[in-house]
Amino acid sequence: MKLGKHQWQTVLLFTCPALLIYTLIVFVPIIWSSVYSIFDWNGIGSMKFVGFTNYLKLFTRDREFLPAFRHTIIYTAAQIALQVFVGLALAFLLSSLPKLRTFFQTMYYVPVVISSVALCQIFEKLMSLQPLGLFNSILGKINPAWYDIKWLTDVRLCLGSAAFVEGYKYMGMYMVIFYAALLGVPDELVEAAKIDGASSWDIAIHVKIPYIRNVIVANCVLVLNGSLRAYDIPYLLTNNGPGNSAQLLAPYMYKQAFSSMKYGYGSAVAVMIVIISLVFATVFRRIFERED
Amino acid sequence: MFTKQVNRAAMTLLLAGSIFAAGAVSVSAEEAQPEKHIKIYTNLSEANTTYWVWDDILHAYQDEVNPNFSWEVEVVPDHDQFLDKLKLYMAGGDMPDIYQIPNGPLSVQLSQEGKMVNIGEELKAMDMYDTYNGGCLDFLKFDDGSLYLFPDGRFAELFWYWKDSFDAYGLEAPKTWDEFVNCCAVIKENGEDPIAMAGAESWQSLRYVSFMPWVTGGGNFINKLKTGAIAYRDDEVAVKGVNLLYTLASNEYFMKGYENTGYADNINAFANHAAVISYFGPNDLSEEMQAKYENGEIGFFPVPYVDGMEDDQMNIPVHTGKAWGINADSYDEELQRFFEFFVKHHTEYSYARGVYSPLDEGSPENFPKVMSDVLEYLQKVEKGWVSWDDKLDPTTITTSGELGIELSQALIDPDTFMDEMDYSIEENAGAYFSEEE
Repeated sequence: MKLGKHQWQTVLLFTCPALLIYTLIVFVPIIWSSVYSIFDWNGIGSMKFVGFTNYLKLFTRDREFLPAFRHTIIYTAAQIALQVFVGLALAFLLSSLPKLRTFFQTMYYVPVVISSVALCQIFEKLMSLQPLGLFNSILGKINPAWYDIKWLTDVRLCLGSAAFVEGYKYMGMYMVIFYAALLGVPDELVEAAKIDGASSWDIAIHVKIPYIRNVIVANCVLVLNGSLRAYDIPYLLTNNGPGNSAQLLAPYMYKQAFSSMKYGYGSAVAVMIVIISLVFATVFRRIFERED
Repeated sequence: MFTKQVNRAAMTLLLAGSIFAAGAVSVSAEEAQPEKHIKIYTNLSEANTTYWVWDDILHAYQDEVNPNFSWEVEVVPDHDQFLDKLKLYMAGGDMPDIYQIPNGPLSVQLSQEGKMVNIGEELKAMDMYDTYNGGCLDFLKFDDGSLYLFPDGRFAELFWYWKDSFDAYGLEAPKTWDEFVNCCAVIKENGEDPIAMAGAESWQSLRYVSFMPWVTGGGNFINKLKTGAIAYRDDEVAVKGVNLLYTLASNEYFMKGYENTGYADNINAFANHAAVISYFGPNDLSEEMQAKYENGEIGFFPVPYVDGMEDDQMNIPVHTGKAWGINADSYDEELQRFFEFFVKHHTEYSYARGVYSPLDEGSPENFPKVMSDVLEYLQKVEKGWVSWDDKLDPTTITTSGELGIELSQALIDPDTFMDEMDYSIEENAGAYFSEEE
């Protein structure tokens, strides 16, 4: 369809303000970071041009970047499992409830509106050992050895604990989105499947999920991008964990730029986060678009 | 009747006139004072007594000297977040008027760029330099002896212990580190947790690593190490310090759950007798704990000596808290007048709040017994504590904190700690300190 002059004017009128704001708050900082990333600067003295040395160091001599990248991938996988798939399961449970749907919908949504700092404070106390938190108090009754589980300071557990809290916070949000999508599944399709003798499980797997497939893919992309840039909850809960065992890319970028005062190097990490997010989102979409 | 009315009218006019005149005098006095608004950036929160000392002095200055003086305070209580934001202010070239800053590379660099007021010269000009305690000023001086920082207060750090446990197991307050480790072993054997520690705070771990080099040589070791002039293993006592923390951690002498315990929770744990020994300042003792001290239930001992080096006299870490600096760009006549007022009233308002003053003047009244007892020790101290968490280059400061936490949980061994410290210094210190020069 060809657009006329007036139609083009309308399109530009509606898209330009958003595009302008998006450019200012997204593209300009990315370009700015790219410029910083080829300099060595401690934030006080003069900036020294170093070319691609920061990037070279990132892949050849940096001992923390690759572990942080690995943790981020694990964290992202956990978030997709918790936020998307548990969220989807909760949406199915919610839609099968004959009563009290609004009540449960609100209850599951409450963590989304609680600030991350407050939520971390709550979980820090729940998972604490000194004084003994609620989690271990209950687990210890089952097995006394479980009184001493170090949820937030054991190198094997702290990343998982942070992932659990972040997943818990946002699964309610995706549950609401999936619930709305499930309500949009036409009754005729469900009725036809029932007449064909499909069970509730069959209807969910073969009718409803394929019908809301695009919503699932879109939510996966949202969670993917959010988790690759995750910062607040893992940092507040574990402070990167002992031995940086729960350090993700975004806190690592922050540490390099603002704690170590390597603004150039930190910017190189920031640019890598942008590239990684773009690559993952593109690959993910391509895979599912091809399957379509 | 008419006379009465005239008298009343005259009286009313007189009163109105006097009120107006008083108002005019007051207004003119207010107008005579310059308008000044300052921004203060601090790590202190309302939970810190020195926060209130500052608050008292600021209000006193406004009430007594300049009613047009006003201020805003930005508080970031978390140590690491405080430093990160301070670095952001530095990078943005928009420093607050008065701010807390550690004595280390950050303050040295700012002073060299002419962005900090030379406090030493100011104190000499107001004839107050010699009134300050020598140990306090020593803590704040840069390597070249210059003074660009002023103290928040006078703080000491000591080991506190429960006397009933020590008595029950036949122990005495340890004088050397060997005795200290032995005390921990005996306490542990008897089923108690020996040490309460704030394992979530990296500086607490670094204290244990730095105690031995400090009691034997002050800042000699760290000042050589930070530039890479020596490797970690070149100093035998420093190696012992690393081994000490590893010994305490690997033998599980720290209380259960210490890994995620903050400073306040650590003191609460000690107060609840969750562990027998803990390390913190006398200012942090609650009234209940002060009473327990008076009853002889808890006691204190200074930092133990290294075995075979017991003659050294420096064993009470005295420091001034996080130091203060003044922005040279905003240091006008009015800010100078406020600073002089602050210096000359610091002791008075510190004592009023029940904390030590960094100035050797006056004598505190109504101090609790424990504060008076500790003060007796402090007055003999001429050499300040040398903290490690602000001396190294920024990257190694972060790395040392992370390594300290790992060592305090025995997740790494002493060799790894020393290798990683050397590696970080080799990678970062050269460029950083050469730029600083």
